[in-house]
Order: sequence, then structure tokens, then C-alpha cells
Amino acid sequence: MDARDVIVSPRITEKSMANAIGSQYTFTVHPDATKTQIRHAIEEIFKVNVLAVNTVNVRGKSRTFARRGVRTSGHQSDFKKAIVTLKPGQKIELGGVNYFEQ
Amino acid sequence: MQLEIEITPDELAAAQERAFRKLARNVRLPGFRPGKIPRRVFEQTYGTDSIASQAMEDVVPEVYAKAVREHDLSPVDRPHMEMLPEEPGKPSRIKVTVEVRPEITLGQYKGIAVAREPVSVTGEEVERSLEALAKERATLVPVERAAQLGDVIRVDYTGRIDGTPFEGGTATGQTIELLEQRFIPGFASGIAGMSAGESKDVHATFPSEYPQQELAGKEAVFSVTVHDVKQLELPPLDDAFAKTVSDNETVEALRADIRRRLEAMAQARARRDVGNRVMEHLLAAHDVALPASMVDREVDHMLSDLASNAARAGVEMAAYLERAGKTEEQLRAEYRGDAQSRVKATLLIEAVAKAENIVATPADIAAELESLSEQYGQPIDRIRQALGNNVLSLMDGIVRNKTLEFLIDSAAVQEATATPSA
Repeated sequence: MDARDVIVSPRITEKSMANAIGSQYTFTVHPDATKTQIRHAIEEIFKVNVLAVNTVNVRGKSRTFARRGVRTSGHQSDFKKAIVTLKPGQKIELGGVNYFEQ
Repeated sequence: MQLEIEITPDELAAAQERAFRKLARNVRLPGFRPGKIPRRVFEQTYGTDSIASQAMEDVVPEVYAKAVREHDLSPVDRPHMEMLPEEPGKPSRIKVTVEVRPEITLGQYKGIAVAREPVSVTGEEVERSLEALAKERATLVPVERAAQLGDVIRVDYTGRIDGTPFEGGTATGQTIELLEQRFIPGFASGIAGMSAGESKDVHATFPSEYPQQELAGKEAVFSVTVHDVKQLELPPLDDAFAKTVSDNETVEALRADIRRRLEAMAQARARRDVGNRVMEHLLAAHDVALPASMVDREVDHMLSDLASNAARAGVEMAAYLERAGKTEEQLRAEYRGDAQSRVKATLLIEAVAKAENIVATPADIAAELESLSEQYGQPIDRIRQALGNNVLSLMDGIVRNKTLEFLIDSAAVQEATATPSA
């Protein structure tokens, strides 16, 4: 798997922004990606040193919609999220802009 | 007055930060609660324009207020603001045009020579007030003689113009006081000389400026029947009378009391006259560049006063204008001169108050509130509450009055040769 296929997108949320202060960056990754693959992909794309990778398989929530009296239920997509810890002092910038830093 | 105000980078940055927080509260973005979105993410998503314009909106009034304080201006109108074109590397600038209270160079305002009419109360005036008092206590006594002017009579009358009765011209058994000035010319004097039970035709003419236009200038014939004649009998002007109408023991004391009151009224009037003359003098002696907006506002005030007076009399403003045959513009133009001198007077009085450090002290305000409370029969707290922010204009009024008093007191009054009050 190519590095760009392993890493789907950065996760920009309140929580991920808070973690970024301690050099932990969060990404949505390919559901089948392993921690090792993620480590290599991050190091290759961002030219940084990865100390640790933690992953979580996030199960999408089921959502019920009521529209015009008809109840339909849906399901949010499952995804895998990886929290990558970098060597202290290193940063990740996306497209020249550091999204993560406040 | 024109000003150029600079917005320093610090001020701008602070304003932008506040603007961002304000805007962020209304932004919903997945992953963030409203208001928790970081600035960088906000800018990446929505751009910086909205922050910049919001910041300007917030910061401009602030820097304007600061500039007003710094330059010690007293604006009389809302400012007109304009952004100056941005120059790279320089702070933003705004051009502000606002009308300010004109600088007034006060000329002489103390010791202004004014003539004053001597205050005198004649014996005749005292007798007239006494008579008015007596009239209130008068009794009606039937008399067996022809009616005279001043009598109270009961009559039937039917008024006709060219042989046809007109509206309001007919009455039966009406009691009237036979005074020439109460009725249209010729009516009362025509009735005088008639005795009870007599009938006669009386000719009278409506004056040409009579309010009912269809009657104005017309000659009318009234068929009048007099039922009875009564005479107003005034009580004797003795000590007993003095006791019933006042706290005075004797009629002489009552006379003196009336004289005192009339004199006090005349004094007050003379004082007001002095004040008016001083103001006239000041108005003539000073040349003030009047801010157009203040004059406009004064004209507005005068018009709305007129409208509310008209409304109280049950006349719509539009109807009033139509009756007067004027448009609102004409009325405005007419009021302009008055408004100008009023504004000028206000400005001059303010200038004098400032020069003399005349202020409304807490005691003044308390006294004013007390008198208002008496006037309206409401407790002071209620008055205070009702006034709210108008306390400021109350204070203005106090300062104005005190300044006028000051001007009057410091005027060089020349008494015209006083005739000994009889």
C-alpha cells in the first residue's frame, strides 16, 4: 500500500487540536492499515520521526431519520483512526498551513 | 470638523480577535462545538474578510470615541465616517466628518446695561383684584327694572340671517351675563334696556374673522324675549369680607396683601424682562457658527411641539397645515430663524455656564426633584424612576436656569425713573 493510500485525511476536531500541543497528531487511516504501515507512511509524507502509533477502530453510529412519517434508519461509516506521537518539537503542517497549531 | 483617525495595529488585532470570537459563536463545523473552533481553521474555511469587516465595525466607534475624548470635542450630531484607501505597511485610517459644538469666544456678558421698567402697582390694580375677589362672592338679586349691561338675565332668543334661523343661534330659557364682549357686537347692547317680559328684535353683526366662516360678516336679527333680570350684588368690602376670602383680619390688610402679591408678580415679570433683554443683547453681540444639525433638530422639535399642541386641540397636523395654507417646508423655513436664535441662545448660555463653572449640584437636583414631586403628587422615588436617563436633561435645565439667574444678577440694571407706586 502506498503511503497516500494508508493515510486518508487528517482529523481536525477539538480533541485532535488539543492533542497536537503534545505532538500527537490524529489521522483517519485505511481500515486495513497496520501501525507499522502508518508509521512509515507518516514519516515518508511529513519527513518526521514517529515515536508511537495508537489506532482505534471507530464504529459508525446508527442514525434514525423520520421524514414525512416514514422512519428510515441509517448507519455512519466505520473508520480507523490513528494517533501518531512525534519526536518532541516536530510538527506537521498541511499544505503549508499548520492546521493543528492554534 | 474633520478628523483623520489611525487604527493602530494593536487595536486592530484586538478588535479582530474579538470579532472572530463573536463570529465563531455562530459557526457550526463538524468536530467542533459552536464557539470552540480555532481561528486558523475558521480562516481556512471562511476566509478572513468576515473577521476584518466585523472588526472594523467594532473598532471604528471605539477609536472614534477615543479621538473625541483626546481632542476634547463635543459632537452635536452623528459622525459621518469614511475609510481612507489602505496603504500597504501603514495602519488603516478613517476620515471622520462630524459637526461639533462651535468654539464660542464670549464677549462681555457681565454688567450688561439693560433698562428696566419700574415696578409699580397702582391703587387701581389693587382695587380691580379686590373687585374680582368680590365678584366671586357676588349674589344675584332680582330687580324690577330694565336690564343693564353687567346684569344677569334669563332669555329666549331666535337668531335669523336673511329670515332663516341658523345653527347655534337659538336658545330657550338661557341665563346669560349681559356683557358686550361676551357676544357678537350689538347683541348685549341691544338687549340692554329691555325689562322682564318684554320681546324685541335685536340686530347684531358677526365679526368678519368669526371662526364659523358661513356666519362671518353676516348681519343677524335675534328675536329676544327677556324673562327676568337679576343684578350682581357685590358683597360690601369690609373686614368681614376680608376674613371670608383670606386670612386677613381687615380689608386694609387684605389690600396690602393683594398689593404685595401683585408687586411680587410684577417683580418676577421685570426680572424675566431683564433676562430676555440680556439674552437679546448677547445674541446680537455674538457671532456663532451654528451647526446646521442642531438647528435642524430644533426645527424638528418646534414642529413636533406644534403637532402635539394641535393634536391636543383635536386637529391633525395635516389638517392644520391645510387650514393655514402652508406646506411643511414653508413652516420649516418660517421656523428656521427662531430655531437659529434658540440654538444660539443655548450655546451662549452653555458657554457662560462653562466660563462661570455653573453646575447642577446634588442639592439643586434634589430641590428640583422635590418640586416635581409636589407638582405631580408622586413620591420622589417614582419621579426619579420616571425620569430615568432624562435626569441629564433635567440637569441641563437646572444649569440653564442658574446661568440665566446669574446673567440677570450680574447685569447692570438701570431703573427707569421710578414713579412712586400709588
